[in-house]
Amino acid sequence: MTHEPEVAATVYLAGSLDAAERERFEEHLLACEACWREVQAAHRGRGLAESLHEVAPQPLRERVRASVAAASRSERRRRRRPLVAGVAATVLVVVAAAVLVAQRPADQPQVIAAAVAGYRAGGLQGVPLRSVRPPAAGLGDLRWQGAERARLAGLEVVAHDYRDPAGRRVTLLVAERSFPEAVGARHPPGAQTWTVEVDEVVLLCAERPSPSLLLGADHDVVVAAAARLGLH
Amino acid sequence: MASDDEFLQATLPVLDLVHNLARRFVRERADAEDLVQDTYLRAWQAWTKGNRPRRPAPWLATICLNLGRDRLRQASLRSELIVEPPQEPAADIDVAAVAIGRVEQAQIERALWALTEEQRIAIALMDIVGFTAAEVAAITGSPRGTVLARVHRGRKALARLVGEEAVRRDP
Repeated sequence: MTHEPEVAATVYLAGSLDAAERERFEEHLLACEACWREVQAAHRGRGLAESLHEVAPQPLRERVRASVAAASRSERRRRRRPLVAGVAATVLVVVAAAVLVAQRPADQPQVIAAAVAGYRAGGLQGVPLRSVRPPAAGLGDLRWQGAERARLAGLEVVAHDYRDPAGRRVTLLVAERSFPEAVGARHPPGAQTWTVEVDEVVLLCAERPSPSLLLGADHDVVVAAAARLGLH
Repeated sequence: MASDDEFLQATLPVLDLVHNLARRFVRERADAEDLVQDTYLRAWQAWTKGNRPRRPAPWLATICLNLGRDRLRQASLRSELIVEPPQEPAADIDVAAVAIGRVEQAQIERALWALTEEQRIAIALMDIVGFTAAEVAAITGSPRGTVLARVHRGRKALARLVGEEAVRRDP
C-alpha cells in the first residue's frame, strides 16, 4: 500500500473517515509501523497539551469584572453629558458652585486634603525609599518610578509613583490604618471602595489588601489602575 | 439588569478558556492577565455597539488571538534588542511527590513554546481549550486541512520534545 503516514494519521485522528474507511485504516495500523508511530506520537502530544489546561485565578475574574464595570460607568457618564448640556445654565451654575464648595480641600479631612495637595505638587516631599518593592512594576502603560515615606496629617504612608510616557501620573498611598472618608465620597454598589473628585484630582480608596488611596487626574486611569492592583 | 451585568453573565463563563488561550499567546503570566483584561474590554466595547454573538467562546477567542498576535509582534521586536539567555531545563529540581506534577507541567509548557507560533496557536485552540478543527479554522482564518496539519505536527513535536527533555534530565 503506497501512502503518506502523516496525512493518513491526520485524517484518521481528525475523525474525517467514514466507518468503513476507519475500520480499514485501523486494520492497516496493526501492520504498518510508520502509521502506528504517527498515531501514537500524536495521541501522546494531544494528552500532554490537554494536561496544560488550568483554571483562571480568582483575582483575574475580579479584575475583569471591575474593569468592565469601570468601562461601563465611564460610558454611561459620556452618554449623560449631552443631556446635562441641555439643562438651564443657571441651574448648572448653582450645581457647579455647590459641588465646588462641598469639595474644596479645606472641607475635606486633613489627610485627604494633604494627599490631594501632595499629588498636585508632584510629590509628598517625603524620604525616598531605596529597597521597597513596587506593588506592581507596571499598571498598563504606567511604570513604577519609585517610592517615598511621608506623613499626611499624622498618618504615615508609603507613596508609590507611577507615570506613563505621555506624562500621566498615578500615586498609590499605602497606610497601616484606614484613610478617613472624603466628603462627597461615592460608593459603587456592592464595593467596599469609595471614589471622589477633589480639586480635579480623582481619589479611589480601598481597604484591601491594605488601606490604600489612589490618586490621579483621570477617573478611568485611576479605576483601571485600582483593578490592576487588585484593590477592593 | 445593567448592560455590563448582561455582558459579564454571557462572557465570564468562558474566562477559563480566554485565560488558557492568553497564556499560550503571550509568554509571561502577567502579560497574559493583561491580555485577558484587554480582550474583555475590547469585547465590551463591541457589545455596547450592539454586537451580541450567539456563542461567546469563539468570539472572545478571536479577539484574544488578534490582540495576542499584536503583542507577540511587539515582543519579538523588543527581543531583537534584548538577547535573553536561553532557558536551560532546571537540573536540580526537587522531585518530591508534590512537585512532580508542576515539573512536568513546566516541561510541557517549555516544549509548547519551542513549536512554531502557528502550531502553538492551533494546539492551544484545539487541544487545550477544545475547539473543533472547523472552529479553529474560522478563528484563525486558515483552511481546516492546514489547521489539522499544524495540530498534528505540533502534537508530534510536543511528544518528541518532552520525551527528549525527560531523557536529558533522567538518563
